[in-house]
Amino acid sequence: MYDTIIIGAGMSGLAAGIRLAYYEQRVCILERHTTIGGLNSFYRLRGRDYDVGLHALTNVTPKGTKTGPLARLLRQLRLRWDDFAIAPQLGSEIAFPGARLKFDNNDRTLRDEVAWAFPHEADNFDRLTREIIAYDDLSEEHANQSAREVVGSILRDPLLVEMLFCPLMFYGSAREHDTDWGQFSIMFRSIFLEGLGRPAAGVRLILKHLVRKFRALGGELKLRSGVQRLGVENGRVTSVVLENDEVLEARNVVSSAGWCETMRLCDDGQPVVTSRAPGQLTFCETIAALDAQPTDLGHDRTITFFNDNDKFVWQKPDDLCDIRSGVI
Amino acid sequence: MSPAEIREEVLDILSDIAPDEDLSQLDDNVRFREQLELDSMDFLDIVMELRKRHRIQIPEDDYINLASMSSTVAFLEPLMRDMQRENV
Repeated sequence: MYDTIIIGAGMSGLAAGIRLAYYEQRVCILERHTTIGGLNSFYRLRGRDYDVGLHALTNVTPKGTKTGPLARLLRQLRLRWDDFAIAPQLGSEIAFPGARLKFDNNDRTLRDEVAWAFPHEADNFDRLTREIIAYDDLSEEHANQSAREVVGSILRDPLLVEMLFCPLMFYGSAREHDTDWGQFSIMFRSIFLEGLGRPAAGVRLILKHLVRKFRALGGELKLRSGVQRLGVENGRVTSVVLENDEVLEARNVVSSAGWCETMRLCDDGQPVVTSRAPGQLTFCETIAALDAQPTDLGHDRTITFFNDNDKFVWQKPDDLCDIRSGVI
Repeated sequence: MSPAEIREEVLDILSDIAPDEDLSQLDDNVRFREQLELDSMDFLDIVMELRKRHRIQIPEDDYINLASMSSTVAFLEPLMRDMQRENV
């Protein structure tokens, strides 16, 4: 009997495993795939290492910073900033036909760019930033307020609004057209006020540290162990049946398989609650290997968020893929 | 353990939870949260460390006693009186 079974050996599953194993729970992480990482995994192809999903870390703050999600995460997982070998971004850009805004890990850069490209909005931008900093991400108060409504009441220039929404929607909105004010504030802080970086060795280094720590604390990791169903009795999950029919028991089950999938796995016949339907948007990614450095081609931006129009459209496309906007 | 030893033990736990904090200037009578970058998860970790190291169970209603160093030591004193501090 485990104290906790965790479904999924992605970053959230591994982090949960570390916390529970650290406080002496008997923990087992079940992963259906042959390797760890989940939505942020890695692979090797024709002599090159590639990352799936995560290509940049948000919330990158310098070593020694005590506040912010990265510092908190490192503290709670008992990891050191150096363990991730984070290479900060050189600088990124939002590119629309009418304007370009650069930003980097110094929040003044974006502020100065906005003041230069939208001088009439400089004060409004400062006010928006103050509101965002003031947002308390632990309270539910503004959870459902429309970001477009709030931002639209502070900034007057529609192009500036669209340009700020573009990167933040890519990073954080599973919903069409809009996001909620809370989410907008969190993403704004993560990307514009804190920073972006990448572990130079890729996401595998982070995952290596997570799995090593988990195992060192006595945690068990079972790969190639997909869950077939969750045995439910009296509204409580009491057993986990694997695809090979093996039955595992635990006092608690924590799932990173997502709401819909987890509910589907429960064998009590309850229908999946449709108020939490799956999202309607997804990404399509292409990876190209060049035989030259990007700087040789005149490209020095770490990330480019582009849109081919003054208006940023964020909705389910009519055809296979909407390539009017994207992330390079 | 004596109150002074309990204080040392709490400092040890704090340095484990928040290794980047300078604890040498800690004011025992001021709330931890006003002097250190600690959030509610960190406070939970203090409770968990006490359980892990000394098998002390602290009910949620008693978390309020851990606000400052002096209140923490006063609260732990009857619970840890008969324990020995391990040489660190």
